[in-house]
Amino acid sequence: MGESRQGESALITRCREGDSDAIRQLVRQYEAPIFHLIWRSIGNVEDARDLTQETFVKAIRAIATFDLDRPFRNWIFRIATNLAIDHLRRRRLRTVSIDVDPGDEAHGSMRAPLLIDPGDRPDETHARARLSERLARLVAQLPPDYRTVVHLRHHDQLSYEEIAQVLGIPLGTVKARLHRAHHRLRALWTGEEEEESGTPPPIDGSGFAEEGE
Amino acid sequence: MRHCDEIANQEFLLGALAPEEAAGLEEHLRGCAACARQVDEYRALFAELPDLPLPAVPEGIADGVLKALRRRRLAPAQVAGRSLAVAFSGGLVGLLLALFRHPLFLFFGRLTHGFLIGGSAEFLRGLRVLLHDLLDMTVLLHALIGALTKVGPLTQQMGAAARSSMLDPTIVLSFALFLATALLIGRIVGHLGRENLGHAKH
Repeated sequence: MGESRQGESALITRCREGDSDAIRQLVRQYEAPIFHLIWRSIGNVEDARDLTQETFVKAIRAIATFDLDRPFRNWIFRIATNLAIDHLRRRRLRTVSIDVDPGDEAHGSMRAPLLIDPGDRPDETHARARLSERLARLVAQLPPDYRTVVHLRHHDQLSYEEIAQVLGIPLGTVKARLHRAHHRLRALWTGEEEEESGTPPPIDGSGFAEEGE
Repeated sequence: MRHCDEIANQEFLLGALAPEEAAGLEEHLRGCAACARQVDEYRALFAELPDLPLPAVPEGIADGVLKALRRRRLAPAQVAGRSLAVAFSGGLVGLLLALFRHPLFLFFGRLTHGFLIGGSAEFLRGLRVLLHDLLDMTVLLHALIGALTKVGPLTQQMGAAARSSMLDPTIVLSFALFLATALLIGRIVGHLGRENLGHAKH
């Protein structure tokens, strides 16, 4: 870790000096996790692309304020989630559902072409992919703030403390959101709760609103 | 015997329980079929969550970022602040040069005089001297900017921007502003200095 951390510090120092190659390298390194984090939160590929770009522009402009002793990923994640939250607030009146059903081609334009990690064995691939698709649909039914903590914990493997820093919320709120998200996913997954089919999830007005501690 | 605790069941799988708590829960699981089943369900869920299908990352984000950085727009307050800083440092350099009675200002005066009244030969001669002195001044400016880059984040940013490949119009405008204030202040101070001496050179 120490060596890659050093390499990253050197890269960021070059970005501070306005080195285009370094900026390009930094973007390449972080564009996938940032794009996926924003997409998970807002559910639209075009907007997620724009916001990913905006995240980097903001980060590079503010890079002089970045403390090299801290993890860059969490710093830029915070910029990304703030932009995603602002975006969701701006379109609060609209429904915020993620369309992740690659089986249905009818709504092409809003749909993302999905990359599915091929399984370990070819004959397992199909079944695993179907399972994954169903779970992705369930995650998409969660409110945006729940989806975001689930993504940060399970996809990016952030600790509770890191998630709290990234989202700028108390540790207890992170835990509460994650527990509730897990509970709902398990209930939907096992059929304890009815899976909503086709219709976007009801907007309960919570959005990214803070729940009480 | 501990009670059924769904949150503890989750935390157990996420490795967030203290060792003694985890041991207690494991014991509970051996005697509670409902919790054991729930833990199995959570285990299956947590195994799938890291690898959910994701959209492909769009092409050209890096290009878009660099393009946006080149045509960056500063907020009005930033523009005002920077212009002020640039004008101030320009004025300071002009003042210093005039105090040291740098010949640049005398020749600049002669140049404009030559251009307005005198012939083209005098104008060209003035121009040659001016260019020579501008070169001097550029060297001086370079040293000054180099020194300024060591001080404060604003100047550091300016220095970094100047050195970067992202040379944009604002840098050129800043330099023009710097030069203009340097010449203006230098002229005024130089003029006042000569008046006080009671005679004008040349």
